[in-house]
Amino acid sequence: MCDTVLSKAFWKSSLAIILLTTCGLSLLDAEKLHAQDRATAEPSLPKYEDMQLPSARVLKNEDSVDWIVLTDGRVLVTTPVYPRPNTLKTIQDELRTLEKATGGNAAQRRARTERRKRLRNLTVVLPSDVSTDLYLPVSQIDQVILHEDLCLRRVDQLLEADEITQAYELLLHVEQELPGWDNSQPSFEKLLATEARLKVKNNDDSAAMAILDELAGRNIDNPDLREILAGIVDRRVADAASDKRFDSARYNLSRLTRHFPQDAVAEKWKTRLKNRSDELLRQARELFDQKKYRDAALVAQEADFVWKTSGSARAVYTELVARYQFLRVPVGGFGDVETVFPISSRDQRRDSQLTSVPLFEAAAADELTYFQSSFFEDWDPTDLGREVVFSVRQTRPYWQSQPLLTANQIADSLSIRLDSSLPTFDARLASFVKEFAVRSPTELQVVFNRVPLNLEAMFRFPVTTLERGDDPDAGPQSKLLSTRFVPAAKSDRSRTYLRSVDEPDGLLRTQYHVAELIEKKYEDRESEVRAFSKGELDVLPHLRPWEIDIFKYSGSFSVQKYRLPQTHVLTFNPKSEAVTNPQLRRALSFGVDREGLLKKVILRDAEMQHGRPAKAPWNSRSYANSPLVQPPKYDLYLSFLLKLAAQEKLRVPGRLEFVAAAKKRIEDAGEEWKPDVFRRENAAAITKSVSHITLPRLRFVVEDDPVAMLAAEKMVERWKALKFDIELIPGGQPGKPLADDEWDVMYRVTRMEEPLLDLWPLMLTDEQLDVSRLETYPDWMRQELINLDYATSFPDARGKLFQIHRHMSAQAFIVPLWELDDYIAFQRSVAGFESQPLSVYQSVEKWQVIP
Amino acid sequence: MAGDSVTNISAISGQGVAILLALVFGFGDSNAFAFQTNPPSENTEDRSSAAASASEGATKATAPTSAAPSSTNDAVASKKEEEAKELRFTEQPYTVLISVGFEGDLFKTSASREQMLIEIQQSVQRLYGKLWKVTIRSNEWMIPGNADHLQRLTVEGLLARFPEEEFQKVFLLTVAGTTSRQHVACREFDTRMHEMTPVRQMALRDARSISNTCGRLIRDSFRPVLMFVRRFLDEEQHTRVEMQAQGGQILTPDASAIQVLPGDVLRPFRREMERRNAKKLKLLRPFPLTYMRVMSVDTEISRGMANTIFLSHLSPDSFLGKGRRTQRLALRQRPTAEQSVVRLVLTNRPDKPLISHRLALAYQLGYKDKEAQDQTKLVSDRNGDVTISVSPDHPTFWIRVYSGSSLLARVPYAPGLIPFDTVKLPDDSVRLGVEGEIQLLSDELIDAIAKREVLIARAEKQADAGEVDLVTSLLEQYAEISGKDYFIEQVKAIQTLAEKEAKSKRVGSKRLAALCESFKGSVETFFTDEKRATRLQQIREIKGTAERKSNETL
Repeated sequence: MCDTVLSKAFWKSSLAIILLTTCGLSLLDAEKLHAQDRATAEPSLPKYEDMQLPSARVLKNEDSVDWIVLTDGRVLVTTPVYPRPNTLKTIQDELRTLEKATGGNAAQRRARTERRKRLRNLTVVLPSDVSTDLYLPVSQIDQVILHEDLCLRRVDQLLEADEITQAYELLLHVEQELPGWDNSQPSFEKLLATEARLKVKNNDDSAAMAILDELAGRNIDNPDLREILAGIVDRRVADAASDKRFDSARYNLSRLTRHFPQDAVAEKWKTRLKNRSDELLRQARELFDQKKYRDAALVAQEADFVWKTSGSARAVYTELVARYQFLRVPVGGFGDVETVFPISSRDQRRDSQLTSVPLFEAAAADELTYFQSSFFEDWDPTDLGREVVFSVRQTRPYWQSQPLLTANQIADSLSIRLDSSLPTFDARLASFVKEFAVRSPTELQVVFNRVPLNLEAMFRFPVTTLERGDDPDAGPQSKLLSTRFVPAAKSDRSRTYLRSVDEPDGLLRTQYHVAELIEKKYEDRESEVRAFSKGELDVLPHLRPWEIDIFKYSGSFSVQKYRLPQTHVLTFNPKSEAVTNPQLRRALSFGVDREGLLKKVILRDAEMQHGRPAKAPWNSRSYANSPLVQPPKYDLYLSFLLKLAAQEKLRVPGRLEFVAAAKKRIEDAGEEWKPDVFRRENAAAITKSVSHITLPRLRFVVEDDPVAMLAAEKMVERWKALKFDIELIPGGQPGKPLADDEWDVMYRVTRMEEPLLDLWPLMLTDEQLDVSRLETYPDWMRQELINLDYATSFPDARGKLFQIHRHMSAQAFIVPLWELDDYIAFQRSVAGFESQPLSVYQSVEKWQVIP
Repeated sequence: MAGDSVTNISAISGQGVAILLALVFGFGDSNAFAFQTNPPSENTEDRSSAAASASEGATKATAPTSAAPSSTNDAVASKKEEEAKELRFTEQPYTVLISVGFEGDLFKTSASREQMLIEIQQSVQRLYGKLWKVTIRSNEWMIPGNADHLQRLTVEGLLARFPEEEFQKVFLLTVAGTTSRQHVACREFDTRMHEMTPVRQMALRDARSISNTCGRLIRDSFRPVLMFVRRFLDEEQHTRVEMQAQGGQILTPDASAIQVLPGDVLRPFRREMERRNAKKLKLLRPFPLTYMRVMSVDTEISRGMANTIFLSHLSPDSFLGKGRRTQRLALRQRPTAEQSVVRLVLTNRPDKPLISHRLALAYQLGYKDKEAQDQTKLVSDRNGDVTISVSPDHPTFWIRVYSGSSLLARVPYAPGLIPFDTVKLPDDSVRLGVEGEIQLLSDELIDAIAKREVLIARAEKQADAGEVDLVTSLLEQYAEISGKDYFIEQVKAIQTLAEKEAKSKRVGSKRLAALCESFKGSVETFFTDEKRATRLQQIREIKGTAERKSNETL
């Protein structure tokens, strides 16, 4: 309808112009035009009030036209006029400027005169004849309605009809034509306000608030803004407060106060929440006075949760929460949950670090690892190292969480490790220790059969004792004496540990440390990171390689690099017949594209800043690295050929059997046995007789580590392409640990502190140091491993490790994969941690969490 | 109590007949016996005649011995000398002391203890009769008289208390307990061989059975003594040795107390006596890991004569070799435990156990004999120990110790006799190291060959496609792969270093050379001139094909 009207108007005006131009007349002034109109043209130009606003489609899609409203109320529809926008104003301004201008030479004065003349007429082009310029006296023009004005008028109409999308598109059209035009801004604001209202109507407050933020950014004085925003916030805060989601309430309030700090709604809620917070803080104070520190801290935290404390309330809050500090840590799994992984899992190792204090702990590392003891004051060797007297500490710093122990208790712990009939037996320790004696409650003397090269590393065990449980039929159970934190509570998704010895009363607020540690399990990594970002967690123990830079450069957290990187390796089951063949192990090693996986899957960084291919199971700076060994290469051809070689080796007994049977047949028949001739003539038959023998299916168990799992999946893909029959077993599945006959290859993530002592457990997946696990190893390798314990000096030990490293790499007893720098992230509120920790919970008893 | 003893050595030798050397020890209270120390014959003598000669010789050689205290009158002394003269080794009873320690409420009174001693003596008499001259006493020094104390006793301590001149066998017995529960333990100490048996013990619930139980424990702890008679080689080239049991002619009242039975195992000892004082021991030499397996026992003519096969990693002469004033004895010993522990150590460093060495138990009489059943495979533990169980059908077998591809040792073993044995082995570390290095070199050789074949195959394929550049690149890679010279050089370097180390450790280097030569042979096999020429021809053809195909494409 609208389109039709417009067309008629166009037709009429166009007809008039056509007539005028064909008579050879120019539109020199309005008078003449009107005269011509009257004389020659009927129908005349449409009246302004008769004009119909073009539709959005026409405005957007058809050629732009402007409306020139003449002083007599008629409208001339033209192609876009210039200057624009504000055509008349711009002309008037220029005219005034020219009229004021004086001076200059004759040419300049003449040019000004010419320009003034031209400005008195507006050049118009009719849509019907774009080749002819017509001049319309400016004095006859009442107003120029530009195409964009028409668009904005249509936008207003669309918004009134809640046609958001079309309005937005039209506004974009205007913005495209006249970027940043002042006249379009109110329409934009109106659009935003209308959209926000619609979102609220559709219960999408978050989107509405986002739109209102945009509106506020455009015009904080927009009359609709405050009303809509306050309405939304009021409702949302009320809901959140009633559900005790005070963080949400505070957040919503902040959305309002950000724009209107003194808004009445905001003030109302601030007062309510603050009062509630103050009341809780008062209750917390009462609990604190009753020495119920944990409850006091919890209530204080709740108070701070309701409304962030400040001023004197903040001081009270800080005192209460400092006395009993909570540390919240996300974990992938719990140490007390059994998984199918055949050895202790990452969670179990972390649990052990948290709950027990070994006699000696790794404290620092460079080429070597250095150990310290929180139980012994001195342990100076005598008799050329064959005897050591350990002086037990009689006092301990207030912050230490383990109980004081006597030499007797430590001796008991030693004795149960030397008794081969007990499950606690430590074969290596027993082979070193000749005798021990308790000289006094604070002195333990140990005499060795031979000098241990690294005494501290050998005594990295916690103090335990054997106790009979309630069940008389069950054997004695090991009970931990050197406890750090003790398990206190557990649920499906969390475990709570308490400091085993509380810190005393009466210390300064700043002297207290973590009293309770809560491990939380999240659905996925995204949830963990979100919780950490929101401050619901204090530590993120292991950053993924691709997260490191994000956290490091965010500036919001303390990101610390672990002193020792994590080394990913493949180890082989020493009891599995399937992997005894070195060619098979080497084939697997050559089939791993270490660099490719690092760049694309693990680090996701072509520069490989936080990782590198590994050449040993220990870190690349360790003293044990042989200079002759390089990281294994990726060679698909060699991998495939070695796999074939391994398969052929499996077929040898079958071939021999076939030949032996043939020999017997021939000899029984009384014929002469000619082995060479037989083999040559029956080569195909011999091959066929063993063609059914193939390499067994390899069961590949992978440690419960997300990065390891990612890499393992890719490795399996590649191995399968090389025709290996491999089954991937995720190690994190709950269940009984796989027995020796249930797995062949293991993907492990390790951080080796002392290669001299830690190589054996890694290589043989054995904590008991059972030499029978060496059975499938060649004798020379066995003796090399064993002789490590008999090294007489550090250079001797290093020489032996060099040799083992070389041989281990060549025969792929362990397949090193890559070494990844490991990082831990702390909230800024956490203090007291090591700058380069060696483990997640290193010196956790000294950590402080003070907001 | 200690009686004087007189030793007389006499040797009877003749051309082609038995050589007999008898020692006669006489003790107070008519405890005396005769020793035969030299073999009567070497391989040729008939056993019965040799035994007869031994008996005769012993009789003739017996010399008067002052067995009684000097205070005794001449008549008594003369009588004892007469008795000593008449006793031959085969007829000589053992002089036995049973020393009983008591503990607990049951034997608080001296009367109860005396009564128990009488009962034990009666029990022993019922078992051994005249074979034993028994003295039984209440032990006053072993306090507390229990099994733990028995366990703690040392040979040195007992030697001082019980010199061999007094008793040949001492049984230390403890009886502890109450009326409701008793515990009896026993341990034998042989004063001639300076050795104790492990403690045998038994718990009881009826005090009336204490004496009989003591008797049984004493019987089970008793280790009869046998003396060398002669040796010879049998048809299967086993060294056969005949050993005569002491008092073998004396029948025991109880059949369960018979001294030697077929299948028993003897453990040999050499006692070298002082030249000037033939009754005084100069050197006692045990033979660990040396046994004599009893194949048959004469029960008719020369009763107690055991026909044995000598089993040892040592030369038979080490035990059987002649020697003046040398007594060649053996203890018949039966398993006292279900298993024994054998520790493997280095010969020159006994403090260093040989850990994780592979062992095989070969069930055969002589090490060249056919094996009766499949071998048992074992591995030494972190202390170098191997626990070996008793095999009822095989009282002795052979332990083979391996190091890499070589057999390091082969020793006979009879488990259960003594709880702990040590096998000293040579240092094989240098050879083993070379074996490892050669293994790595072999892997490298396999890789080199595999890579060569792959590269040639790829080059052939690229040549067919006319890719001259790729072919050139692949052939360049081929040329870079290690060849014969590299491997020969490497193995020579390994050999040189190993020989140097072997020299410094003073161990032989023949085996090293053999290993290296074997590898060189493999290298020669892979890199023959013929193969090399063929390969060069193949490379030329590949290059030619590549050029031709490339030109055709252009």
